This record gives sequence, structure tokens and C-alpha cells, in this order.
Amino acid sequence: MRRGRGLRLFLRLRDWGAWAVIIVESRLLKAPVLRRRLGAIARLPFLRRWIGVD
Amino acid sequence: MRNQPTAVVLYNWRGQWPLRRWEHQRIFAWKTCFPGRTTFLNIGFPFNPTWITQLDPDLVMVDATALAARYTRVGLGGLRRAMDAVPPRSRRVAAPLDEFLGLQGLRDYLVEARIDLLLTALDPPLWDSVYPVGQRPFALRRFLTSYIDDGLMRRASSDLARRSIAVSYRAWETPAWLGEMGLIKREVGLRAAAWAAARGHRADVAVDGKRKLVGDAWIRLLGASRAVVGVEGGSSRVDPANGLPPETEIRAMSPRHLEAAATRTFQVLVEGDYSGVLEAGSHYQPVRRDLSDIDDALDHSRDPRRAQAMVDRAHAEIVTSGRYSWRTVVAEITDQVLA
Repeated sequence: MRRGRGLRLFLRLRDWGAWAVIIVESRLLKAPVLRRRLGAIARLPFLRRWIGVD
Repeated sequence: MRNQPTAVVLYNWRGQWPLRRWEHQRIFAWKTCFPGRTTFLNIGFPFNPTWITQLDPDLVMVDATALAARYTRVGLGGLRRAMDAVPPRSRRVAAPLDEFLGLQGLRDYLVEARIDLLLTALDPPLWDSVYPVGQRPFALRRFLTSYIDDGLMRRASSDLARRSIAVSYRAWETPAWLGEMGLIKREVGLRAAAWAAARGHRADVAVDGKRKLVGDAWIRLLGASRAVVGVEGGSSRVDPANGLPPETEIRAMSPRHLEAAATRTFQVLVEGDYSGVLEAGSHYQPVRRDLSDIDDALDHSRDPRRAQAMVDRAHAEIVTSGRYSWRTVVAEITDQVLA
């Protein structure tokens, strides 16, 4: 289904979404307390990687 | 056969926003300069490798941010999954810009990923020792740490005499393992600040990694400064485990030197090769490595005629000529790889 143009559009939207997450992370996760809390909650490596606290 | 080539750029970014300007350009210059369709995939976020297989690109570009994962806790797992999904017919290009870190891991991975063309910022005399001939099934091509984008090329700059800041500089707190080059990075900024204080000029200098400028803020600072000091990027110490003599120096021109040429800012730089781009006395005012003549060199920036002539020459030969533009280098890489 996501072949050709559809896949490219999907990947473009995904990239924009990723940048939105990065901008939010840059603004909100700078606070050490929040970062520490999230790091403590996210014990699983893939979760730590996903929220960028590793 | 398709008329237009297609490319996929793999990068890994979970860092700050905005990015440093040159980092943003290096990743996304392919969008405007590649003569075909480009898709970007940030492998710092979960992805399905089959997407790459389905895109069936002619060229896969592995950005330095994706390769940098080798020396972080993230590791190369994500990049491995991505590269394993690249169709065999695709040409593979990689651009590591920090070979002095985790070199052996990088060498092994480049072979494993079946890279066709490696873009390196290293001086050609170092190529055979860093990538021994018997262990490199890929071609090498010199690649600067940055090139000039269209926006920077079109940027207008005021005359030096009208600029309010006498000298500017930024550096991070360099770790001891970078050796003498790391120390000079810091020292050159401190000496520039001392020069400005002694002569009553205004300086904008930070050497502790604070007051970091990203996006266009750095370009605006350069454009408001008469002079900027600097030194080549790299390291004067390498890990002996890499098989290189410990005293090997890995040096390259930093993106900031091209940016300063584009903003017509007078560059006072520690003498060096600057990747063969900048010529001492012609494009920048050289300073000895012991910085003993840095005050005299900075004084030259106060001579409006001489300093303006030098920055105009640097702009004409480096920026206006287009030799070091993203358009030129992406076109050349594409021709070389897809010929």
C-alpha cells in the first residue's frame, strides 16, 4: 500500500514528525529533573532510546 | 530505466534544535542539490528497514551522524538494520567526519556495510595509514567538513569598518585527549579576548562551551565581527589501538572558516593547511602555533584597506567561485558514483 509516492509521502511526514519530537525534546527535556524522572521510569533500553535519555 | 536518480540519506539525530547550521546543511543539502528525488530517514527514531528496500534507491548516503553512533551508547545496531535492507544494486556512500574517534570500529563497519565511496576530511597523505589499502574495498574522495549553501553564497555583508565587534570566537571545553590542538582551541580564544581588553575593543568570546550559537545566530555574529580567530579542527593525539603512531595529527578545516569567508570576516588563524582551501596571507592572517604573534595579527584587522582587501579576495576565490558549494560537490559525487 505504501509503495512509490505513498511511501515517500509517509516517510516525509514521519521525518517532520520526528523533527517535531526533537523540537519538543529540546525545549522540555532540558530540565534536569524531568530528564532524571523519565530516565528512572524508562528502564528498558528501547524506551530510554525512544525518549532520548540515554 | 528511470529518468531521475533517487537517493536516500540516512542520518541519526536526537540532539538539539536548532542544529548547528553546517550540520543541517550537510544532511539536507541533498534535497536541493541532488539531481533527482531524495528521501531522508532519521534512524534515531524507530523505523522499518523494508521502507529502504521498497524505495530501491540508486544511491544511499550515510551521514556522519549515523556513523557517530559507533562511539556512543546508541551503537551501530540501527544503521546495521538500515544498511542490511539496502538493495544490492544501490551505490553506497559514507561520510564520517570524525575518524579520530573509534577508528577501528569505523574501518570494520565500512567493510561490513559494503561502502562504495568514502568521503573523508583527512589529508590525502594520511589515507593509506588510516585506511590501509588492503583493508579498503571502497574508493576514497576528499570531502570538506562543510560546503557553502545557496543562502550563504547570496548573503550580503557590511564593510569591516562598520562592524561593532572587534573579535569573536566560540569553543567548547576541549578534553585533554585531543592533545595540543585541543589546548590551542581554548588558548586562541583567551588570547583574542585579552587583546581586545588591552586595546579597549569589544570582543564576543566564549571558550567553555557556553553561549553556544546555533542556526543563523552564529552567522549573524560573524557578520557583525571585524575579525574571528581560529585553528584547524581535529586532534593531535590518536588512540594507538588504531594502528597509527600516537603523534599522528588529524586535522581539517572547520565549517566556521568557510562561513567566515562567506561573511567577509577577517580570519586570524593558527597556521595550517586548512584542507588545501585557505591560503595563508591571502585568505587569512596566519599566526604561529605558539600564538606569539597573535596580537600583531589581530592588529591587522584594524587596518581597513588591507583587511577589506583580504576578505574580499577570500570571498571571491572561495565563495563566489562556487568551487566549494554544496551544488558543486553533490553533483561531483553523484557523477562519480552513478556514472
